[in-house]
Amino acid sequence: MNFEFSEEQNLLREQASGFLKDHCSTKVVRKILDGDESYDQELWTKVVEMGWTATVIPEEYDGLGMSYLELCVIAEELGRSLAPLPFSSSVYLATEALLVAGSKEQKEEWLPKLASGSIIGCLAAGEGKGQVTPKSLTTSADASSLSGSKLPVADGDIADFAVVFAACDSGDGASTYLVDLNQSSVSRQKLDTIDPSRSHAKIDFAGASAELLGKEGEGWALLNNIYDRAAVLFAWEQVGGAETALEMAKDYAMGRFAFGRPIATYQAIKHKLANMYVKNTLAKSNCYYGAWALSTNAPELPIAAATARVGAIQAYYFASKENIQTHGGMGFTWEFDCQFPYRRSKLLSINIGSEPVWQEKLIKAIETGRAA
Amino acid sequence: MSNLTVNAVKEEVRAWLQENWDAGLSLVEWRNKLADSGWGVPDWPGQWYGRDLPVAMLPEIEEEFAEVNAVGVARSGIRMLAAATILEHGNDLHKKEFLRRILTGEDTWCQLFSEPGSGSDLAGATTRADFDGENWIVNGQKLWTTSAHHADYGLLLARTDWDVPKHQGLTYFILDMTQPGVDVHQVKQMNGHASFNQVFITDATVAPQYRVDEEGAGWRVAMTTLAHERRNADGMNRLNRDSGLPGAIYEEERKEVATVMEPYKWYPQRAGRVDLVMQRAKQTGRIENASVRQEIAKLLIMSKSAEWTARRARAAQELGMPQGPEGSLGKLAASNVAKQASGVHTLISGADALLTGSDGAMDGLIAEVLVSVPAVSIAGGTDEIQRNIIAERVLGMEKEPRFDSGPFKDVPRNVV
Ligand SMILES: Cc1cc2nc3c(=O)[nH]c(=O)nc-3n(C[C@H](O)[C@H](O)[C@H](O)COP(=O)(O)OP(=O)(O)OC[C@H]3O[C@@H](n4cnc5c(N)ncnc54)[C@H](O)[C@@H]3O)c2cc1C
Ligand SMILES: Cc1cc2nc3c(=O)[nH]c(=O)nc-3n(C[C@H](O)[C@H](O)[C@H](O)COP(=O)(O)OP(=O)(O)OC[C@H]3O[C@@H](n4cnc5c(N)ncnc54)[C@H](O)[C@@H]3O)c2cc1C
Repeated sequence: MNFEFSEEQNLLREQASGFLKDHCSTKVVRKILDGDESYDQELWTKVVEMGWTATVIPEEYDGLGMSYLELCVIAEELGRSLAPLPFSSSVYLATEALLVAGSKEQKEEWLPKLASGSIIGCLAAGEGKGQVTPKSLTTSADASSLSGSKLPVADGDIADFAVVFAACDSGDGASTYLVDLNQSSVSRQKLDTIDPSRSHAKIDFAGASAELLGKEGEGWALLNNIYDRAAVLFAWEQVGGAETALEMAKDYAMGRFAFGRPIATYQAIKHKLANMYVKNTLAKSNCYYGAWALSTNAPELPIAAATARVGAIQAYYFASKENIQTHGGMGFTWEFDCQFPYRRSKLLSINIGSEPVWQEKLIKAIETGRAA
Repeated sequence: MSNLTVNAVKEEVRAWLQENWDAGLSLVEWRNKLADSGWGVPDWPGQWYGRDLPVAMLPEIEEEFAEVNAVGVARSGIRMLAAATILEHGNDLHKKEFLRRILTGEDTWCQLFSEPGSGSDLAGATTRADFDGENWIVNGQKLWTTSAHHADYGLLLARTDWDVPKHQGLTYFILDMTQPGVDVHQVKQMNGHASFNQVFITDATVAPQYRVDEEGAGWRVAMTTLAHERRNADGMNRLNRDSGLPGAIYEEERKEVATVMEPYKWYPQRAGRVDLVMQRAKQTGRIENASVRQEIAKLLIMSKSAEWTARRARAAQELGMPQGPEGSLGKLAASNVAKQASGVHTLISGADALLTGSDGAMDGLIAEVLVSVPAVSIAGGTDEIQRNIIAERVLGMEKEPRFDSGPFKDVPRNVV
């Protein structure tokens, strides 16, 4: 197993981080947070030009055919820059769903467009109240038409198609569908969330035409598989964000004076930052484990994903809240950037299942004796 | 490290063991063979009982040893800190005289750093060494000295100059613990064991050739010892397990474990015994309890991330990257894991965890975890000190204002 990225991967990182520094300052994040736009289209166009949306898509579908390690590098940098983009929805969720379960025809139809960024995908599983399960699903489908409501769907307002989970009577109680969102039987409404730099929507399907993805009655297993894979990628984003929070705190602490000396010289602040560093580093180690499991399709993936996810949730939340604390009163203002990583950490701590859900997954996986 | 080289090395050690492993030898005879061949400590320099192999190769080599039940060199305890320090700072005389006997287990070592008046503030040591023209004469008191009651030698940090700032006035020595001026008393710990000691030193002598590195360079040398301690190079996490095999050499090894290694017998408990958690939770049925499950999951994640972090550090080391802060980080991670584990064991065992001895859970082992865990956050540098190190050395945050610069003789200190 590798615990460091290769030289080429680090080159990719340098390129990505340089690019994002130039094109995704916190001003860009703020513009989306404050404005009506759902994401930064200019930045999206550039990210697509760089080929990031095509990273793991095989060459036969016009992708770059790179490994998941490259995608992890990109995820970390996107997380670090707090990029206001539909990248995770389109790449970690929709593209993954197609890669994992798509038929040859479906892949041929959708993947080239996802690679070229000409369309954006999203994943619609949740229905608002509590953790979604096959039993709780009210969205349903027959033959080729789907009805129900999904919320919150990340990037649901701007996506071109959605991977939708609906109840069914066979198998594990759920099936997965591909639904074109630009049809008249689909209506969507943007939602206000705790992180306005990432848009979310409610989507209503009223007999929308839908196409089965994967086998009937295997939707729940598919969702879990997609989540396991996405958890690793999100974890890299989260760790990147946590490192940003630590950087911000450090810069501020070194420059701010109180009681005649920099606050960085007070142990209450030092130890706070040391704790952030320790949590971040430990979480990152789990991410490496996850990256390895994802890139090699290892049977340990469920365990690796759960450890990466929980570690990253905790590290990001901790770093972002302690960053605010380090900034004192300034940290609580709208004007300061401390709110960005904090909002993002909250969003990413619940989007694909919260801590207890993943802790339970981990214990289950260990109990049932899957490789620990 | 390609698979090719791994396989070649495994093959080589296998062949060597086939030729040489002989359970009929005495422990010391066998370990001398290991020292001569370099297979005892393959990561050490070729010139000094090793084979210049990367650390990552060790588990592979150990596998081959286990395959034929071959005994290894003595490689746990303070002796490994002594070896690491001597390899880095000692001269050829030190290396010749001490390294081999460390590996054969003939000599046991202790670390004479902490004192009643200075633990975290190690550079505030007041044990003194004065040169009388012929020898260094040592006077003072050390405390918390693990294994001193078995030790043949001590790694001694003593003050040789009181007129310079504290860090500059220290010198590092190798002290013969068996001489009359060294008086050792065991100190009982809160878990009932007595693995550490008070050491009273009265006019003990150190011949000039047993000074390590320059006069006044003691702090630098001590940092090497501590870096290895934090990296867990003391081998405590791979305490000799009882082979359970019949035969004279295994008998000798068992005796070693029961005597010189006795002070470390509770060390696995102080680390929290994460290995027992799932098994205990299943046995007691507590695994069914939702909140217990969540706490176990948290623990397992912490412990996994500590493990991966250590492996990452080792990998970085192999790539020749400079030694970073992993020691401090690893120590803090271990201390968090231990605390969480103690909490989880309490949740799992319930009232059973209160009972010690044969009445208690796992014959009192769980109770021993609970009263041993606090040591992890103190021994080898407290959690607070590790956080200071990370904040100042890694994050580059400015040091606190301090009150101990200037000649040491003028620095305010504990009266003991
Ligand atoms: C919601 C809100 C309402 C407020 N209302 C009022 C009000 O009505 N009237 C008013 O006058 N003020 C008010 N304030 C200001 C508040 O009192 C200050 O924000 C607070 O005292 C911290 O000061 P600071 O922001 O300058 O942070 P700093 O003093 O710069 O502190 C920055 C960080 O350094 C730490 N720090 C500073 N000194 C030390 C030290 N010696 N040891 C350890 N750590 C240290 C702090 O704890 C903090 O984490 C309000 C603030 C908020 C957030
Ligand atoms: C099981 C065990 C085995 C040991 N074995 C050995 C051994 O073999 N050889 C040896 O030399 N020593 C040994 N020690 C001693 C150990 O290294 C010291 O106990 C430790 O370094 C702390 O020093 P102290 O006990 O003097 O506490 P102090 O230094 O007095 O610390 C008291 C408290 O103050 C805090 N503190 C002190 N300075 C600072 C600071 N600058 N910033 C923030 N907080 C601070 C500490 O973190 C601690 O919480 C052992 C200890 C234990 C528990």
